[in-house]
Amino acid sequence: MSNDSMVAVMDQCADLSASGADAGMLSSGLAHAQLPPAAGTSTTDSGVLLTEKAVTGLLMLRATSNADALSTALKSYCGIALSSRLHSDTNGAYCVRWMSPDAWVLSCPLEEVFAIEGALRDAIPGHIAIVNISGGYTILELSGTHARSVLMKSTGYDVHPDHLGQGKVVNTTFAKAQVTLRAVEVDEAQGRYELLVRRSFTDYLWLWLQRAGAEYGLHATSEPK
Amino acid sequence: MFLIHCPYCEEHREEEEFHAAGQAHLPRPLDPDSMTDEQWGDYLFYRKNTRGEYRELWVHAAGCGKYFNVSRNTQTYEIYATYKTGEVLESTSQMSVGPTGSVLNYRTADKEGS
Repeated sequence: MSNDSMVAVMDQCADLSASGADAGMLSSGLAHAQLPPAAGTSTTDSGVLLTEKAVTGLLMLRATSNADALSTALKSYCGIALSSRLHSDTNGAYCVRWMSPDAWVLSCPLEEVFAIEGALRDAIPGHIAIVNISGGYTILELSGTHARSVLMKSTGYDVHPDHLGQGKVVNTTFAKAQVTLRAVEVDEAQGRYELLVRRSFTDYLWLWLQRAGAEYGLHATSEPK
Repeated sequence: MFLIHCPYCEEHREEEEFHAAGQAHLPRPLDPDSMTDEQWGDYLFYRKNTRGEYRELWVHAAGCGKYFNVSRNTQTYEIYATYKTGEVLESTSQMSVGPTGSVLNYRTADKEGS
């Protein structure tokens, strides 16, 4: 940390390695509701697979005049530059999403989030904002041959692959909540979509998706496939 | 389906994602201390109630979260144009109205430039 920084930065996951994620400070937004249930149909004929990527490291990055400097710093640390309008860029476990003309969300392994925040702050002397939002959001993933059908029931946004192509990110309404919807992998036959969801809406959206996906044989699991 | 064009996302989105935020282009007085209470009250509380073409501030609340300007007809709900804050909208000459009622010859220009 540079000495002239007026920002107090706390490692919110400091004891993660010591005590493990279960005993640690950050747990899944579904934990209290004991979701996902053990039930769910068999994977063999599942048209939709729903998983939670629990406890991912998330950083909200904001910059206007220093966006280029932030982009360069991010490129040197994570290998990806800040994404252009409505797009995302991925490099291994790192993914940066465009949220607004001056805001992006970076996801990374939870163990690295504090180090990345420090590195970016040190690299940019000027006016930027970096906020650790790991505890405020969770990531749900919807995949399979009928994943798009479930989306069509849930959002007014046009999710056809011609419109929501691979890597595209949109903030939109979803059921009675708001999500950041990202097309991870899309082709004619099937799709894999990621929903960045407010933590307090996680159980609502999980139950919504279970119900919306029931007719396609939705299989819900807490483990990433 | 009522779609509104967000000038920041550069896409048409559902009306559901937006909120209206009142009359646009209200310059904040440069020297509030020297104003009378009446003038200050007018600035804070009094808005035009135009029938016809009206300039409004809207926010893409569920999307990018940015405020932008809308030129809208308060009688027919027709949206003529949307443009970023800080831009000005000018009608190039006599209003040229298209088949759906949209004004075709609006263009946005930066305040400083052109």
